[in-house]
Amino acid sequence: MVQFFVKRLIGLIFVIIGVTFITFILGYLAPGDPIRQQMGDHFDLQTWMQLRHAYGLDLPWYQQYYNFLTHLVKFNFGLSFKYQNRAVWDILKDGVPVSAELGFWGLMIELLLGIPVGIYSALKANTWLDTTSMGISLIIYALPPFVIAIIAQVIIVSLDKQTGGSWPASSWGTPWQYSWSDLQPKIVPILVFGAAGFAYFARITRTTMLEVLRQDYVRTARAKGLQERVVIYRHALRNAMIPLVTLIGLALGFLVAGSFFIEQIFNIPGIGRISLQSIYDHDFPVIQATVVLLAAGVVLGNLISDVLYSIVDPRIKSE
Amino acid sequence: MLCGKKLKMTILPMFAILALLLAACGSSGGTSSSTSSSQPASADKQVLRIAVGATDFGSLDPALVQLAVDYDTLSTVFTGLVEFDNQIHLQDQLAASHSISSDGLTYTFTLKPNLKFSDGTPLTSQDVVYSINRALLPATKSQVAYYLNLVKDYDKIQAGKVSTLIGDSLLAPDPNTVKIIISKPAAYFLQALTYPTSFVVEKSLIEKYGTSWTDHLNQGGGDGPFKVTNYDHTKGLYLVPNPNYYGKQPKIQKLEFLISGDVDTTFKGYQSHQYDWTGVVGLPPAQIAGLAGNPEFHEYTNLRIRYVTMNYLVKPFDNIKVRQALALAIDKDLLAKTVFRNTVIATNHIVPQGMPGYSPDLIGPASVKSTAGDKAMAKQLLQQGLQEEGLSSFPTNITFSYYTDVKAIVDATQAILQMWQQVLGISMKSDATTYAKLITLEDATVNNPKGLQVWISGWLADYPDPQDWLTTFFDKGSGYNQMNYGQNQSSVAAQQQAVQKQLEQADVTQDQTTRLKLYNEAEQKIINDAGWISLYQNKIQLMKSTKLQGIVFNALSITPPDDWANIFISQ
Repeated sequence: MVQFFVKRLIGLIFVIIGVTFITFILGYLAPGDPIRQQMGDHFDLQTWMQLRHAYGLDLPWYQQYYNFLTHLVKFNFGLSFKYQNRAVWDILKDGVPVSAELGFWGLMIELLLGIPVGIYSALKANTWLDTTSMGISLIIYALPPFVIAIIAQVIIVSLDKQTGGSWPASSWGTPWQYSWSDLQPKIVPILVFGAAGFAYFARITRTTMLEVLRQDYVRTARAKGLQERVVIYRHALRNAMIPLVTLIGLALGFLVAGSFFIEQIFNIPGIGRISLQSIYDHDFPVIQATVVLLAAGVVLGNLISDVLYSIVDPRIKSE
Repeated sequence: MLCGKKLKMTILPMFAILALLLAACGSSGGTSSSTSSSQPASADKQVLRIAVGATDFGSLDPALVQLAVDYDTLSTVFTGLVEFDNQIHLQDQLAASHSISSDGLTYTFTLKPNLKFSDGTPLTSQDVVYSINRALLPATKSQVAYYLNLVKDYDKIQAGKVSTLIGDSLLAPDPNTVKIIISKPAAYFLQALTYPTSFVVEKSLIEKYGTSWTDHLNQGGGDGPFKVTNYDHTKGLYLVPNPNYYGKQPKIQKLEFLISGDVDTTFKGYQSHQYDWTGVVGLPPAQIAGLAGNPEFHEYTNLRIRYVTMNYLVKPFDNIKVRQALALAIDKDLLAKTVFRNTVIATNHIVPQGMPGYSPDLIGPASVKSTAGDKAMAKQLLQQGLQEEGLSSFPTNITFSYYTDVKAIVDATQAILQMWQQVLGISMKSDATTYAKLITLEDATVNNPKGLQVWISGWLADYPDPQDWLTTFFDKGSGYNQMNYGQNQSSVAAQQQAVQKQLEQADVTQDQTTRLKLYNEAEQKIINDAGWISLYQNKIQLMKSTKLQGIVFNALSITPPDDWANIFISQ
């Protein structure tokens, strides 16, 4: 197992190098000059040259990339172009717990809603209950997350106007704090996150459950006279969960990157919103850092997924 | 039938969702208005929440600030020697008075007595010269140091040839006196000095925390009507009245500048009563028409002009009649209505409305007053102009350059090209680029007949003085004279050079009335030459709670420091 972890972590290093190189080269070759963009209408050659030198942009590309990698080893992502004198990590560190919180609770909603709906649909396969639940799931799944988010916001505003209330249409509370003033703005974005993704888990669960329920050992368990509840939850579900575990591990990896649309629409100060804004602003150091974070998250998510898979499926552990 | 029942059971939930959506979408764009008295509410209700948009402040360091929203925010915490009042008239601020030497090179300021920073530390002339000097140091990496480019030896300190201007052109002969020596007489120097690069900051805080000193403003550092209690980079800036402020105390007891999201999210947040004022964020264009008549909706012009211009070094744009023809073929009223949905004002002006030096009597090229142009005259002028140039038709190899960063500019460009095609029968190639790239190309067009030919651009005032518009863009040797006005072979080049001399004279004339008259005359001549084809002036649209009283909107979008004593939340 230790050897397995070490191999995967070494692999992570190569992934980071590959990802950062591609991002760096794309940013380097992209049209536009971030310093000139920051200067706006008032271009002054001397100032422009000074700033380019201060940010290391007058160095050859390979020197710039080398500097970036050597700083990365010390977890130094450099300074932002837009937020003057602010370290990139200083900007991102505020966003990580926010995105993680949104993603974590959103994922919980997806699982707590999606898995039972999937199981229920599988047990009532081909009945009107199955058709309805899968139909609704499909409609919601087909709606882009930003559409669901905007609809939710419009509903909040409409209800506020009609009732004279002030339920917040945007913003976020203190991360991982749950007093009412912190919790209130989080409820709707988390529900939107969950709604946008629960159908995916519902359909996967339904499919895998149906497959498992057709297996001989399930028929045998029923023939032995076991209670249906025991057959479903102790025998069938455990095996049906194996593919789900893979998906959950991958989803965990994406948590840190944030949900771009939901954060942007609800004004949630997470990594997703920071990333989108840095793209608008051509703030390359921030863009590079978020790509590194995302890459690391995906690789770690894969790792978690593999570990969970080996726990759930004894056949993998023995291999 | 089973099929029909299944179908009904699937469709019913869909209709339920659809009904919910329609109910939600039926809401109007505005908020419910409420009447309010003119009496202040109790102190615990004096909480003002202002939206600042989608991102954290670029910087709250006055030496670095560029964005309008950052400017507005830090103007509550820091002040300078001189600032504008809410009618955009220059006034002494930290200074009790000022005088200008007879040669126009030395400005002497006497500070108000007993000035203090927000932590109680005395504020003296040494702090003033330190702050201005710091903005000029290369180590500060200020992109806005050029606002102080009139200070003598500005070039030397920027190039690193001298380490300080204190004792050189920045003098503090005693704790209450500041002297600034400038490199050439410039009647607009005080206007340039109002920009935050000269706001006073506390040296001890900067020396203690270095470049992250603005994260510690709750410990002091400011000298404005408010002081910072908390700066959260994810939520915004929180302030309370500064007990050491030298002016009248604000009535607002808690001031919050809140990160509010993009324009749509901010608007929805306002409708949900999360903010009392949407500040300079703007409103969703689709909502603006529906907000007319809403007492919470306000609109005012700001000092930004968009224009089209042509390179005088490229034929046939050195012919004034050709330029006038292109100007008069554009129906700016139609552009404002259809492309910009009345969120802008069509204009013939270079100096925008709402600032000193604006001339209401100015008329368009060829004495056409209307901003709708004159199609018949345009055709006639084009024909005459081409004849003078010995051309039988308009050249087909002309390129119109525009930027794609703003969709409205793309739409405006297409509309203008279409108008020229329809009215004058001329076509141009179009070249799309980014705004940053266009600025580079504009710079490369100075004295360059192979530079840009026709392009669309814009300008936002650095400070509200006609010099910032007219001399900056049309004077000889100016880096912004990209259209090469006065520096060309046209038949009116000599007249243009005379206009340039007039601008230079206005720049050094201390008598304000005479100055502005000189600028107005020069502006009319430039407009007649179609030096710029000004298209429109921007407006700012916002929502403000009816309970928020005392705000005076102006084209600079500023709230002068002493005005906070008149601003309150009513009962």
